[in-house]
Amino acid sequence: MPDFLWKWRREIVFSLLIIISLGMLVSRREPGLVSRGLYQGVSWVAVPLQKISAVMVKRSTHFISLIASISRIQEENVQLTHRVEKLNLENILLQEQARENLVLRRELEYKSRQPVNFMPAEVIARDPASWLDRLVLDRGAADQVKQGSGVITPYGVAGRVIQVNQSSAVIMLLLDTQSSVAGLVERSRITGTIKGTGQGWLKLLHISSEDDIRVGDVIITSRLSSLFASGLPIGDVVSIKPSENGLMLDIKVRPRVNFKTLARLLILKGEE
Amino acid sequence: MKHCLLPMLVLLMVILQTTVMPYLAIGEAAPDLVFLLVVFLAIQRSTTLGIWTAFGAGLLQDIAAGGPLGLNAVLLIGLAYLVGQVRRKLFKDNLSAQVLIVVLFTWLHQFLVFFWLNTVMATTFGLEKWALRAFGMSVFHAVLAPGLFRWWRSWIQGENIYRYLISGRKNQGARWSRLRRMS
Repeated sequence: MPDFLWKWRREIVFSLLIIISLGMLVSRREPGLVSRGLYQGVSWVAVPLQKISAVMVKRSTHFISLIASISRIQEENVQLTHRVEKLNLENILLQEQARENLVLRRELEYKSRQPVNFMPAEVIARDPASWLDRLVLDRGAADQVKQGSGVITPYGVAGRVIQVNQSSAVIMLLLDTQSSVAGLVERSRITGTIKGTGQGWLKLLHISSEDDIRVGDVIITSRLSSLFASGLPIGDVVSIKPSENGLMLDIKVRPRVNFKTLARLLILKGEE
Repeated sequence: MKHCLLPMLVLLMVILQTTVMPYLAIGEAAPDLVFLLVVFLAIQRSTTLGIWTAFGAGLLQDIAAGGPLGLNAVLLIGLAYLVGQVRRKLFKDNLSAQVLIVVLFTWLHQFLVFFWLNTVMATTFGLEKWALRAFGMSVFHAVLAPGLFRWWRSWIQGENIYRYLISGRKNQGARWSRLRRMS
């Protein structure tokens, strides 16, 4: 019997480990005690190391890019100074308009929108060899991050939290093929569904060929979305083609967020 | 101490894969250090060690990068077993043969991921994406494999630590005694 086991040891180990791995993969929708313990244990070891490594890499790449772009920074500085002056002026005008808007809303007894509460987070890990568009943030259950929370950047919507560990959280980016968000065409107020393609762009679904949509239209989050506040930019329409049956449109949307350079994100914590 | 070298190497590769490699990615392609390590162990050491490492490293990679738990483990275990079967028919110290195995298995690995995602996870990736990724990754792997394999071989044998710290001193002592005898 031991000879038999020794002879077939490779095949036995192979079969055993394949079965265990497949079991974990199949039960991923309802993680059991073992899976959860494994996640917590590995995160306990890996997350601090990932944080240190991510900071070191970011600092070194930042330093290298700083040296390489000193002359460009000087030119940009002059341009930005002019721009700041211009924006200051615009800001004053906008503040005045906001005050006026507030007064008018009060007069019309509109329910004012509650401010959105968010938490900044840093990207600590991302596997470039993975086909799935997911990344790991340095905030977790200890920071009151909840599964399903929306994640944004100053440029627009980035994704949502799909898994929360003690000190880290996994987010699924908008680009992921399993991601979908309710979207709205800002100009014509048509609603559709924004879906990831896994190829660096998004598609807008459920828009019929009779709807009013043009190349260049901005897509924003809809009030139908439970994850995001309405009005956050998602992307711009770059091409529109009729679908094979001619009833619907195949719409390609370029996301506002540059997903390749994501470093800091904001996790939405719901309304205050 | 020597038994800790392989787990330490696995952890180091997973950390590098999830923090440094995103900066080396060109378009769809980026090196996969964990895959390379598993192939290296299955070629240079033993199939069984390759399979065990594939299981541990695959789970670690899934958790550290937020992927579905078990996906990398299943695929890497399968690849380690297959590499072990191929290795018997090849001269394992031939570097060109090793690079060829790495390139072929990169294409196979990417195809298995593509197949799994499209059939089980209902994604809609096209074959052109698979070809583009596999091509880019196989170029990365072919360039990196010789250097990495050499580094890993010396790491696992403990050369970095033992040879320079302990054996180095012994050799130095032997050199001194030889010099004394000569004088």
